[in-house]
Amino acid sequence: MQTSPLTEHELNRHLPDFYPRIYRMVRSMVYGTGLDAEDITQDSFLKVYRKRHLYNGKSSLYTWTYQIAKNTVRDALRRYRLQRRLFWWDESDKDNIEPTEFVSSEEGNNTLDSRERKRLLHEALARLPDRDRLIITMRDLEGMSYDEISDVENVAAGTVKSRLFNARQKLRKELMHLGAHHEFENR
Amino acid sequence: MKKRKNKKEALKQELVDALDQPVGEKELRQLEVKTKAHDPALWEDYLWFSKQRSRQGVFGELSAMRSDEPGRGAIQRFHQRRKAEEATGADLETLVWSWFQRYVLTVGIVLIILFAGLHLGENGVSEANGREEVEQFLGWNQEELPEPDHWLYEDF
Repeated sequence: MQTSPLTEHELNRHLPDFYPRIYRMVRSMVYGTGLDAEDITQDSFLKVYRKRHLYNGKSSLYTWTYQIAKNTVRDALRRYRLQRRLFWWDESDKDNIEPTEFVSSEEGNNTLDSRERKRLLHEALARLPDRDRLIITMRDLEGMSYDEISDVENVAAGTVKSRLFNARQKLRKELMHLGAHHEFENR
Repeated sequence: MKKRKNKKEALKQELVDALDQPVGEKELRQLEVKTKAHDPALWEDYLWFSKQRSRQGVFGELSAMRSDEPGRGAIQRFHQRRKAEEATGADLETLVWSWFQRYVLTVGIVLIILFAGLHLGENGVSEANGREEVEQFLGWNQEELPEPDHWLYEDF
């Protein structure tokens, strides 16, 4: 339990570790929408800094930060969808794919084949409902433990596992739908 | 029906566990029999998932993305924005406070004086009216009555 309030200095210390992880989650969640992942990540961290006095240490600082980021990105997506529904004739933001800068540390191995597979994967993920996309991002992309995920999602670890199985099933179906199933089939 | 659904969820959990940790051949065979007896499609999914753990499989590709970093200078950009927003917030606070001091307080004081004045004035008027009523009642301020000049009074 956190007895003393969380200081700005403490947050600054964790920022280099948390920032890329949160950014990857946001990026995966907003892929293909044209929303700026960096902007949303910054919004999330601004909230974390502003609300740091509310952190009570019941969960780890990382999962607390993750929860705030998850809610921020969900709000952004909700606003985006509402805007799309209200201004359905405005096609200007369609086909916005990958607007944000991302640097791979394995740039040398990033062959066209690999890039294409990544693109297909992102596309298939983007077709999943938010909840499924998030759970795959947390477990398979970020490698978070089941306890961490259950903290973020506020459900039992067993539920996390069955939801993960369902989400993976849907991902498989979406890859089939995109005709990319065989791309990953015999690897 | 609910029992069957629970069984299915439990099986899914077991299959996810089997993907995470290496399972012995015997245990895997038992899991296969159990799963196929319940829902063969689940076992098919499990097999596909287990193929995807290699570097070029779905899970391999996804975990490779873990090494991706946001654009250079992202954290510095965040700090710059945070400072800018804090400064804007502070500026706004100062602006609102000075506006409050300049207008709200001044107008407030003027209004208080005005209302106090009106209240005093009203009291003065009512005080005068009250005095008149009392004097009339007691007859202190009665006008002099005219001399009786009727023929009836002539003898008096």
